[in-house]
Amino acid sequence: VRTRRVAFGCLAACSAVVGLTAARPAAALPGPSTAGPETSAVDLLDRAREAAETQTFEGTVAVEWRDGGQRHSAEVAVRSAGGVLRFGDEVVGAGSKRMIHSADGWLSLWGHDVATLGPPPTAKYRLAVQPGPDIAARPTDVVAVQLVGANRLRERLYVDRDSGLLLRRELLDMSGTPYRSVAFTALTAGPGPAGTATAATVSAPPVAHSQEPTPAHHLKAPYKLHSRIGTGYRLVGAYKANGVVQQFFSDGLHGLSVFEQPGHLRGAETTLAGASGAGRAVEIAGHTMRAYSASVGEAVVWESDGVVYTAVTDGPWSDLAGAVRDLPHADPPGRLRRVAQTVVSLFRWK
Amino acid sequence: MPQGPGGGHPDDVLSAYLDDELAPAARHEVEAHLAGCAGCRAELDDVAAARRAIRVLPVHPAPRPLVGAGPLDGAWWPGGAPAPGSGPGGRRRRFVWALAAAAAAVIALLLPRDPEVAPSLPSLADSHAATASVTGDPLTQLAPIAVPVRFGP
Repeated sequence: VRTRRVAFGCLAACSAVVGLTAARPAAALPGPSTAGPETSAVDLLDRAREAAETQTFEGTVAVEWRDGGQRHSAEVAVRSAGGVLRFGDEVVGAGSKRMIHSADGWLSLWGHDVATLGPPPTAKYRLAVQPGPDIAARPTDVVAVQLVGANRLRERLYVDRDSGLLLRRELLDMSGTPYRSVAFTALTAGPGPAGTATAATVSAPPVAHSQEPTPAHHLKAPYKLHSRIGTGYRLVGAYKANGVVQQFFSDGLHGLSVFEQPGHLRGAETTLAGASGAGRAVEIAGHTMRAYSASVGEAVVWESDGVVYTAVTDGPWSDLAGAVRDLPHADPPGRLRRVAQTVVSLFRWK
Repeated sequence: MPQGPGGGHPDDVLSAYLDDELAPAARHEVEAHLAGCAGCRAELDDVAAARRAIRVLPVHPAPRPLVGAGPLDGAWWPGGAPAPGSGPGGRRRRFVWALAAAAAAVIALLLPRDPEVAPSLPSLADSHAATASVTGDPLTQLAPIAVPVRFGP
């Protein structure tokens, strides 16, 4: 906890500095701004992160995403009290712990603090704060996100003026239309009858199984640590769990994970959404790969030199494609070559 | 008349003629040719001399790895003796070697050196969201993995 607080402290200190720089691009964007000079975009985002972990509230969140030409949507109830954030009966976040409900009970996915939160978002993005529309009947400030040097809006983040909670987050396509979003449709926040009831009912469940990864500071071949990939994604940490290596990158707003497993690609078991399917074929850096879209984000699966890569991001597809270009992507060997490798390996001195 | 590739001379059947393996009609044809061809008579004398010289050489068994190793195995053994490995035991060894080679080929085909991997995308997506929710906003990072999967119409 102390490590995380130190990280937050550093981030807050950095935010105070970068907040001054973030206020300047805000003036360059169209639309009025009622946010004071002390309320920078980075401050708002940092406050939203802490509010989600500390505020008492309950409500309903709608998740919408697009998979090819098909739109999908789903809702989930959210409750938070006493530092425990609960999404329906499926997902729980408590401090640095993350749990998901599985067929065998509650599965722990994460259980330790991180030493770094990634780079400041202002290294890659221009952030501007504007008054936003009411979300779930609550007034908001909206953080408009553009790439540095670009004119098109990539994302909007709507922050509750009262509670500081992030009420809506939407990624925009080329025409400015949201293609993936998470938004409160109803919210009761703060102490009160509803809040008291929430505090009494929200608690962290007992964990039946653990899949928590352990930090991997040094990786042996065939793994290779990448300090940065794609457009502004920097390595936050490398982890290992059940024979799978995960390198997690951040650009300050989005995360991007690269999972590596030794072997040959047989095909993904399921789509990101959990239904049977084989995704869609995409061409990246001259190589054909399988891509998937779902509520979580985008994913690409491919094989290179005896390692199966799965890259997942909650950011835009273009970020994922850019990151994949910086990773190994040799053509998988043909069957004849694999047979030859196998025969040769039988006579190889170990 | 039996003729070889040499242009009408029965070079390729002279050995069979010496071994008395030709049919009577072929044998008569060879003898008729030899009567009128000095070159073939000289060739026949050379072949006969070479045979005599070889037959007086001592017999040495071949090194073991050569037994059953080639198409000449047993066919050209000096003195006409059956070569080691050309009997029932040799055939058995050849069969075992062939069986082992076939088994190796099958194993090579069926057993790739590295395992086949089918990434579980939902599980990896959950792991990503859990990691991202620790470094980013937990509300918007965790909600997508909590929603029940419902596809639109």
